[in-house]
Amino acid sequence: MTVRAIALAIVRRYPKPWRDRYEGEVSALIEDSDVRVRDLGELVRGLVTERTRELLSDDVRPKRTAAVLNWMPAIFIALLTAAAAGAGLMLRVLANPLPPVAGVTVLALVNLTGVVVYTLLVLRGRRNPQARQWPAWLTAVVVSSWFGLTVLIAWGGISNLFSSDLQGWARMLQCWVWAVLLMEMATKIVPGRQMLQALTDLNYAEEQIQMNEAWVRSCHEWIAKGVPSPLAQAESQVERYARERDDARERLARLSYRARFRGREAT
Amino acid sequence: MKKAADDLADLGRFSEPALLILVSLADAPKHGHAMTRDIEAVSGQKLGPGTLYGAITRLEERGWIEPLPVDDRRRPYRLSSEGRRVLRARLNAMRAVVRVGRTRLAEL
Repeated sequence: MTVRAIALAIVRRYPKPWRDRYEGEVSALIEDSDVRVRDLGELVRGLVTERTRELLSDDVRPKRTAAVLNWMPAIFIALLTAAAAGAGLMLRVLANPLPPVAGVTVLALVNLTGVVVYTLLVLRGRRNPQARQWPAWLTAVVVSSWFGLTVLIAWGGISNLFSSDLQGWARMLQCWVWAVLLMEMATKIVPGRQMLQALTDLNYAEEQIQMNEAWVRSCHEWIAKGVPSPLAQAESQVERYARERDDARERLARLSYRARFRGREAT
Repeated sequence: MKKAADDLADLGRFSEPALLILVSLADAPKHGHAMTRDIEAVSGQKLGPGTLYGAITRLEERGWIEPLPVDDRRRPYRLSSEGRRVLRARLNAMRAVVRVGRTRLAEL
């Protein structure tokens, strides 16, 4: 496969609206010029940028953006684990499997790090409840520990991970603890966390507005029939969620989310 | 005038390629390949397709360049009047920097 063919394949991965507009001319440019390997990196960077722009300017509903942001921590952890496992397997092929003594020593260090981190975190939380829950140093410790643990498992230094004896269960348990820690951290540090929260609030508020508007309509119907109904309460609920929706939209606008929200009160 | 120069800076990593594209289109409309060759001849920089079209996308969104009808899969672009104003403002700002820099160098 030539560099030019790879470049054209990358261009075909750009978002559809962009391709509808530019694919023909970009393909012509690629066919006309000498494409270098560094141009591929540039095209990939453009691909990521355009995909992100598309995500941030989704004109239908923000649910897709929320879904993507929601999956980002899991994708990050999967990529990190895959990279660590690949490194461990490569070490296994290139060098002898890690001696169990070395594996256990490193494992003990990793777990000791976990205990120290947890203790520091608890002390920090008690001293200053307003402190940021996942500071940068903690992120570095958790990510590198998970990476190291996975490399060790793949390298063979920690054998019988899935054995049914007590040690096997203990190893499984610590892997689970570290994975939970990593997942927790990823949800805290993932870019767009604030946006995800605002999108979730927006979706929830819009659903509530629809429900409460239906309640208002039914109240009017019952009142027309002479049956007392809590119209004021229903209307106040609509107003409350409308305020929450507007607040979420404002937060999204501050975060550069440019969706053109559809609906009766679209902005 | 200062605002127009700032507008170009708002393009982030595309601000320099965008400036080169505006300069390239200042004399006549050009398509992507012609722009790349012209920019390389003028500045010595070869813009890759990703950077070139990243900048073109943003310039077109802002209305600083306008697409012309496609000619055999190659679409030429021309500078709009707003793009001309932005380019002039940026060149004036750069001229001021060059003048100060030259003056200070002469003082050494």
